[in-house]
Amino acid sequence: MIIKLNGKTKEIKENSTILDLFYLEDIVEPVCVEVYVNKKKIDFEHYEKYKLKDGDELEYIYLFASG
Amino acid sequence: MNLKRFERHFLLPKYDEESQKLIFKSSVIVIGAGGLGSPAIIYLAANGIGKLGIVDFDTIDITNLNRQILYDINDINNDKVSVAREKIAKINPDVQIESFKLKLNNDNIRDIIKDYDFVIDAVDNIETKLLINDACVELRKPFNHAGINNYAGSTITVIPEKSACLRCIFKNFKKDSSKSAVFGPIPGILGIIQAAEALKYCGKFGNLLTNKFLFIDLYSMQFRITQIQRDENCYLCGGVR
Repeated sequence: MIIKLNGKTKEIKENSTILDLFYLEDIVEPVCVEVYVNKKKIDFEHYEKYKLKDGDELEYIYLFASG
Repeated sequence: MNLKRFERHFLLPKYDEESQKLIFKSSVIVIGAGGLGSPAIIYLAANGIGKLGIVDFDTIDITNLNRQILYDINDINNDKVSVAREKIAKINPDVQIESFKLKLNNDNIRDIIKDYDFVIDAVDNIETKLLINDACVELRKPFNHAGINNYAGSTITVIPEKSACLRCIFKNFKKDSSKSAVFGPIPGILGIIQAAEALKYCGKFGNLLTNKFLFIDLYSMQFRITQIQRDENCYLCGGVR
């Protein structure tokens, strides 16, 4: 299926979760990362079970620690 | 204040002598005089901020010099705040400087920032970033947050009572302890954006980066804005009306 990830088209497997996507994106430890699917904020505890659908638009943002 | 210095500003749309005078009457405190703080301090001073506060407990190390452009090889082992004070005096002697060589904590932060018009979070750890966020929301103090890692960084401006704070956005945190990799130019870009946000706020012109999270990645050359909403149930600012 096709989703939009941070504005770019990406093909991912059916039934992929947000956490699956994090592994694909090399986000090994999704702490200080917040996710919006179709502009709606998804709570951290749902990342593992939230199944993405074809056409979903997902954005994620980081809180960077360094200065 | 010699207005001739700002002649090119007066050619800008929506910017006149009154904007410059407002900036000169304003005060900004930069917390952290490192990679983000260096360019922020330089641009605030060069662009005529009236009073500049600088907070940093650290001394200058050779590993700072790829990005902390306030300092040079002759400054190694000297206090950052002392060197910053000397350099700013050369850039613009009209700027009043207040320096604090200390570590911010929950006991001292409110006293230090309370008289400033705008706060810049240029620190290098999550704990102090949250401390700044929390104190600024409590004191209704506008501030800009920025953070960097590797080739990337992000920034947002927070106007308490009006726009999303860091606690509205981020609910999960971990302590960071290891030294992070930093590509020298990334804090330069972010620090200058922080100065621009402070100048626009103080001079009352332009649009601020409120409810917008700007992400910049210099490796892939991506610049992206994510729209953010204030969380009405935010335990910190949800009650601030």
